Amino acid sequence: MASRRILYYRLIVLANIAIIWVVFAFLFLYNIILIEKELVTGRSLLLFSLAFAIIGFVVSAALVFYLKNAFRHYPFWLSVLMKMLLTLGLFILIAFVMLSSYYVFSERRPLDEFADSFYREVFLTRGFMIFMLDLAVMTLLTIIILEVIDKYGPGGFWGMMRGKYSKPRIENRIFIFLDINNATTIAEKLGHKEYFRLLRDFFAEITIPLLANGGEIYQYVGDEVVLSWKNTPLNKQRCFRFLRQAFFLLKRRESKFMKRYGIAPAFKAGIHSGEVTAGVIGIVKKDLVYSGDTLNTAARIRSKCHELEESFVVSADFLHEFSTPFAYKVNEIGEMEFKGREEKEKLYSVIFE
Amino acid sequence: MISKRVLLYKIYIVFNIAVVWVLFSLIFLYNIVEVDKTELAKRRLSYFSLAFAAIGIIVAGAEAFFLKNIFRKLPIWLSTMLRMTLTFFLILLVSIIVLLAYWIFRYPGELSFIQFEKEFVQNVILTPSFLMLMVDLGLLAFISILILEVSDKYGPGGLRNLIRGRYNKPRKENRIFLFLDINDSTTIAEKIGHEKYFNMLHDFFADITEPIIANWGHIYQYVGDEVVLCWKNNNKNKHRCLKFIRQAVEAIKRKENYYIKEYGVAPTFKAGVHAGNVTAGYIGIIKKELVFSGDTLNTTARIRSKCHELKHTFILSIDFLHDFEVPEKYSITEIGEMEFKGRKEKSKVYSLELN
Repeated sequence: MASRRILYYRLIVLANIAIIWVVFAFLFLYNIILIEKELVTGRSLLLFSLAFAIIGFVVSAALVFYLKNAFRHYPFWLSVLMKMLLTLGLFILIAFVMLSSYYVFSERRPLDEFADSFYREVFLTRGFMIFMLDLAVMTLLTIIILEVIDKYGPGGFWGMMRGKYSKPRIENRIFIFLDINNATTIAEKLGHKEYFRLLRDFFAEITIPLLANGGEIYQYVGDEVVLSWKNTPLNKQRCFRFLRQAFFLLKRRESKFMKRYGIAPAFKAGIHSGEVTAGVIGIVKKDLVYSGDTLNTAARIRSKCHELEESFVVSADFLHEFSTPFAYKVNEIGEMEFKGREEKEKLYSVIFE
Repeated sequence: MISKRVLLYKIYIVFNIAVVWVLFSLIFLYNIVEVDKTELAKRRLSYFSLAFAAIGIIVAGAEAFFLKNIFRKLPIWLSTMLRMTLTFFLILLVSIIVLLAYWIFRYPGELSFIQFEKEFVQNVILTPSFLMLMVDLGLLAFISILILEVSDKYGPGGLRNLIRGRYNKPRKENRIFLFLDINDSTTIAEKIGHEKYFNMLHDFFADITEPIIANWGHIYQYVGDEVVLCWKNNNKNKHRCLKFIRQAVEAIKRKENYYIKEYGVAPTFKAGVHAGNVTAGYIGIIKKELVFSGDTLNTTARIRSKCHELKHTFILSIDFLHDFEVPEKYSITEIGEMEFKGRKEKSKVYSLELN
């Protein structure tokens, strides 16, 4: 079940990579045109750019949608090599199809004649070899870019390029601290390596509802994941919807987890919102960091879940000026001290109806 | 004062980028050689590869050592443009010098600078292959800058671990963890304002970076105002860990005046140190991160929070001190006991003083 939002996110990545391909295409084409003057002069540059864009689009689509996680368990260099071999096969196929259609439609000659001349006039030329080499470099670049984008998370890479956080700025954000129930017990039962795999599968599952609701993964702290949204009424709704979808998604996956691990993970979450200072920190390890009491408070609210025996606890600050959608029931369940405030603040539980 | 290890780290990065340059140069050179057959037929390919490697090392060196942080406050795209313009001139300068040297030693004719200049402009700068070379070099400079930026995101060794696939399967590791935190962060933040506080945090982490690298530490992550460092667990690294604490204290002390002038306070820090088993591996699909999981980390965090309670700056656990002879320069005293998760008996914790 890939929602529209995920498709949308992948398409953006795809479009960006296609643009890079076209930029490089100009450079490489220039090289090729200079080399194989006789072969190329008859054709227009526009057609070639188009061809390159199409190849780029198809290759990166294959990488983004199918190949990205295909060799996940191999070392990176091996998986890159295998991906490149696969895409090389893809290139030759596409090149053959495109050139044959060009040949058949614009020169109006039969196909078998083409196959023969394809081999002689295209496949064995220097220009084609260089073209393949250039394409291989592009593929390598694409794979690396995809890997790097994953490291930064959605929006993180372009935020870095744009210099969004090169000066610290104060932002009002929603934070969810989320972790697996009874983590220590599960870890002891499964063993640490198996527990880690469970954790990985669990985070992979909740990624789908997270992306669908426009949330951002801020960081993993131990067995906990911190999610974040900009603080707007719409995002508060999304935040609730994320909890609901994640909750029911895990319910649906229960049998899968039971089969694999003998345990179905459930999670608890603490939600809070407030001002934080956002900026990039570090010299040899740069990271976007949110700093402020809001985060500590959210962490403490999450730890209240255990105490109050509730799965989802939200703060009064989060519910401020927010009319809860009717599919959710919010009950007052207690009070907590907030740093820097004299009075205790109320806490609420969330139940899905 | 730049330590040997920091220098080594930078040279290592420069070397890696130079390798990328040479790889690319082979592709580009092939293109260029094909284009300007007449121009290049007489020269040797190995010379060219060498020239490329030299230019690559110089450019990457300039980037890594000088240019990297001068435009830090500007957005990346702008700083990239500025850096590329600067490197462009650098490349031009280097190529002029290299060609000049080549010309002086090898050119059979008369030696005069004016003639060289004329020939240089005519035969080198105005040819299409030179233009292409410049475009290719520009591309490489751009890639170098991106590599530098990205390797900073991964941290030292992070990129190499990714490529080697070291943590593709979760693995058990025995590691030393050090949680480090600025004293009275809330008070300072309230006093000087959050934005200024963040700048101070940035400066603070920047200043302790050198001791971290010099002592082979890894920055695992930033958690709020805290930074988590780690080492592989062996005696050599335990020494380094203690040495790091000493050097970090000294580094911050040296810059005391700067902090007081800029922010009105000089930050001090507390730290909790612990060692034990963790499971290490990559987690996440759209945000992939190397994660250490296990009770060891929670325990270290709790030891760090004991600093406040027991009013000691640096606290070590008994697990860290196990099988480890503390050098004379440090004095260790037992200060109390603490419950560790999953252990029946309480474990001892010790304070560390720098003599």
